[in-house]
Amino acid sequence: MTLDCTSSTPTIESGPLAGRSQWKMAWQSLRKNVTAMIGLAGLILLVVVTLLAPWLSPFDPTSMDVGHLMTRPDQVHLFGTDDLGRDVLSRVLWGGRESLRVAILAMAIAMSGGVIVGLISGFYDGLVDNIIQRLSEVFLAFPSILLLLTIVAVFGPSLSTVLLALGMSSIPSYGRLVRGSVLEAVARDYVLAARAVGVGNRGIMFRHILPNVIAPVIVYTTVGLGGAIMTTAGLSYVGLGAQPPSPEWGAMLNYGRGYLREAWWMSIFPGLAIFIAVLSVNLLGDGLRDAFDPKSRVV
Amino acid sequence: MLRYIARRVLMAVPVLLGVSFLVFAIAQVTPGDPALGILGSYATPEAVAELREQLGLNDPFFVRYGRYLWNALHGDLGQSYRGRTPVMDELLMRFPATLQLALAAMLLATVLGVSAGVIAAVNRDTWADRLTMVTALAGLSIPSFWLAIVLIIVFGVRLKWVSVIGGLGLKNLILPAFTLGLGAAAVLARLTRSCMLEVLQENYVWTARAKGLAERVVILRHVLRNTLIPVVTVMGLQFGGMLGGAVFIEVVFARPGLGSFAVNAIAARDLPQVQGMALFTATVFVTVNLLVDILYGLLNPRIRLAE
Repeated sequence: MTLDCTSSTPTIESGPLAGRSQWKMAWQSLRKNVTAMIGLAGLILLVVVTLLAPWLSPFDPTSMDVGHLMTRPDQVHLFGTDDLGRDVLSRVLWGGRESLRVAILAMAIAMSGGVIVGLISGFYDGLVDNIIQRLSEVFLAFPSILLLLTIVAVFGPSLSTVLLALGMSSIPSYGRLVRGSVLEAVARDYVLAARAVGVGNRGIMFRHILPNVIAPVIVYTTVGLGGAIMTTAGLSYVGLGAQPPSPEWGAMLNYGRGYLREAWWMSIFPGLAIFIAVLSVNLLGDGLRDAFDPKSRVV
Repeated sequence: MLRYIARRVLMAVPVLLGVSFLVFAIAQVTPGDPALGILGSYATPEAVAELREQLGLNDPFFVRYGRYLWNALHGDLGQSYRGRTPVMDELLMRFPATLQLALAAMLLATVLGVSAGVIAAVNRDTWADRLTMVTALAGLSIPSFWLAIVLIIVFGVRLKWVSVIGGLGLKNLILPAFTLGLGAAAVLARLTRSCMLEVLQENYVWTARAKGLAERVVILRHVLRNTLIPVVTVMGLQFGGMLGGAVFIEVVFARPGLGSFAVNAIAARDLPQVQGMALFTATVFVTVNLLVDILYGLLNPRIRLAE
């Protein structure tokens, strides 16, 4: 959540000037932001490397090698091997596919769900808005991790449950964010103009309002992606997400938990991967927020 | 002020009702027969049917919800499948460990976060500012459970400074509180910095300086007080989140709190425990937020007068 310090409105604004020029301006400012570019590069690198895991990884992530059980990191096994002789580097590469896929898809669900709910709630004020808002309040009354756990409890622990739970449990907060911007946008002249020339409700919502309120959503999604990566790994770590022998990063940490004394590398490297992924996303998210919100730069 | 407080309290009631309804509805969509859950899969159909009648599972939905709500209001959250003990007792037994951890983590986060934020804002664009902010970003990005593992390896396994697993003593609180509090500290540091920078631009700060007040006084009395208003709100959210969300840290350090309780309950598919946990934590969360709202009104006359 973003808080403004001198008033209670969110700091990210989507004014009537929002549009193509805003995107261009944002990109220009983002490009000059060194740390944001490092984050973007890191994120792209991670995505590419994990996508190319089948070709890049030196070993099969599931094949065991009884001759090399828990070997320390060396030239052959850069990240060492685990208790079954599986190559940790290969598993980290393959595991990234799981972790990143779940986080990205979950945020896609949250974003699209939140946009639809927020648009409807902000556009049709009155009863519909009221019902949606009261419902959101109930969902927001749970600490987010608890809501996740509850959904996992209903559908049973698995990585796809985590994906669904993460996405669904984030919809209310996205809805809130979008609704706020929509309320502001509805009162603008361009909406009145569109209505005057006979554009229907759906057209106004999706073609006119949506492009003007999407910027803060994108910033919020980017920042949320970091949290999603972390939560996915965390749930797998406590055994409620990916199940062994999946090389998902959190599941690897869970697996390495029993070998902290003998093989620290089994726990250090998957965690480092999570850290780098989240850090990249956060660097990019900070940059995006600055780029879309000129006010925060002035301050 | 009283009207403001009354309004806030009344607003929390429908939310809690909604929460209880949602928690109750969970049981309806969860596959599996509760009677079978209690008796185990070897029970005879007759025994299951009898227990269903006994538990009132054949009553209409809203009758059952009414009964659930009535019992919950009287502190009865049902019996767990596994231990056959009242869920409320189990929760109350676990709560102190979580509360202790959350309080310690929050204290740490507030001291670390707010002071780091103030240092960064006052020394804006110097190396101190940059170092603080880079550290905060790292603190925000590091998975708490992994940091916990790293610290256990370093301090527990290698240096053998602390006994890291289990136990509720003060010595066993340091690492969990630090790992749990670090993320919140980072959030607070960033927020304090940005809010303080904004407040520093306000006219009353210029006035205070113009009338010759020492910079120390300006910062402490005029700037910090106004900076803290949004910070308190976020602190409340963070604290509430910790009470329900110390899940990962409790599991890493094998602390017998609510978080590890929830994980075990879900793994064992013990529905009454899951429901009780959800209702209990959400109630605590809503109450904490309510207190924060009230505190916010006390701190900021603008809010309470606007209503």
